[in-house]
Amino acid sequence: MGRRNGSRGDEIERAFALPPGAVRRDYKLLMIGGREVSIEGCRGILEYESTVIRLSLGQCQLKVTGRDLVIRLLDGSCVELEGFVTGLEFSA
Amino acid sequence: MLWWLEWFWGYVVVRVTGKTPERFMNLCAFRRTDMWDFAPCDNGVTVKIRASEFKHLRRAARRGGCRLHIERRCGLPFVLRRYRGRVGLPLGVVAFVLILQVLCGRVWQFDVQGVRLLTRETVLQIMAEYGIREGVRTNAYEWATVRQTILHDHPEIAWMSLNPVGTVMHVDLSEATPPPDSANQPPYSLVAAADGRITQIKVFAGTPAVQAGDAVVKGDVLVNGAVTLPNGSVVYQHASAEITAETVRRMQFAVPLTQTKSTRAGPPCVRRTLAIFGLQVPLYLGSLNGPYETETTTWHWQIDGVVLPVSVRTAVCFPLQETPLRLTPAQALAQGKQQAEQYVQNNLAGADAIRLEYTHSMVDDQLIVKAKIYCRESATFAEKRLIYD
Repeated sequence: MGRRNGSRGDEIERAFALPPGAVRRDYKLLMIGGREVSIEGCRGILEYESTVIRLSLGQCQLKVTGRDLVIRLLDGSCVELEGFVTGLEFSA
Repeated sequence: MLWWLEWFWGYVVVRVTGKTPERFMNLCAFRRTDMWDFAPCDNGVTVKIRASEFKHLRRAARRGGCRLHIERRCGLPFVLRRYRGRVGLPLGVVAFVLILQVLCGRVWQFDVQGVRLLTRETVLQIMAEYGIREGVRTNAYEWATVRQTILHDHPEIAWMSLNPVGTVMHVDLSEATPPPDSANQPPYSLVAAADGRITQIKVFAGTPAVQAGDAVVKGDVLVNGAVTLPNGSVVYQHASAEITAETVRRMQFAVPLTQTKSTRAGPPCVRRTLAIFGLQVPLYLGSLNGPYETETTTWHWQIDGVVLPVSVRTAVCFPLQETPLRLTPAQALAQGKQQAEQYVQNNLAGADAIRLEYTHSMVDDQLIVKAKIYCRESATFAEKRLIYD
């Protein structure tokens, strides 16, 4: 019996041929044209300024840099950002 | 969120200041509070939040060490709040919407096109027979069915369309051409309707029995409907001819010397009736006794040339007083002559009255005026008589 690779959610998704992220509670990130960023699975806002927004994504953090950054929507774990995004940086 | 939904539910723009506005935002997000349009500002952020959820923010603000400051209130609830002391205003708005809703779905006026022999009033009367009058709902009828029913019941209308457009009912119709009178009649001849002398005769169908210059008496055959063909057989036709004759008609008119004359007496009484969508609302009380004469005028409410379904009919009623009148023979004769001229005008249409001669005599308090009317007739001279009669 070989070593299991990944979490239990991975195994379920693989066993039932579900799309990735259907079972796992992981974050999803969608970026549209460098002007809009949509993050699902956000655990909280750590820093909010017009040039930098830092979000907690559970096991890691996401740092969005740019200018005129605003949070358009904050609804539970869903965050929508707008502005001129110049960088995305993940850190553990 | 759509801007009009935001406006409808109402929202407030809140400035959040403090050490950790991020914590405040996280607490609100955890509570799934509807917040949008976060914008950083000096020492905090501004955020839009639904008005009804503002009270829930205080606890989050306290836990986040922030202070809340309402910058702006927007939306319908705040507009209504501004006018909450004025009950009439929302009632007026509601009444306006209701009235508009009620009036827009009804027929205000009729536009009748294509009448030739019929009149507009006749067409409206026909429509009223089927319940289609001012005030009827435009979606109350299946107009195609109504149209078919009217066409079926009224053969004088060959074609018609009913098109309700907005509040105007457009009625386009085409009148039927009536068949000639002779189409369903048996053959006939033309006979003289009065004594006279033929001055001109043009025969279109039938056998002429007289010629120009002949004198005829009432009932003489002028054009015979029986036509003998060269082979000896006889066919019967509808005789047709244009006959002009000089005639003498004798009429007599009795004019009583004692008459009653109606004269207006006393002040007139004005009675107004308000008509809304055909509903008559009398604006007066009581009723009138005795004979009276009425002069009626109707005022239609118009706005910018559009006739509204509201009208006021004003009837001015003049009480009449009947007084006995004794005519002199001269006055009675004048009245008799007037009656004779009226007779010529009404009954001898198309005839030229050349001369009228009068004689008169007195019988039982009546002046009998005898009129001899010399005239030149064409259309009224010949009348039909069935051949088999």
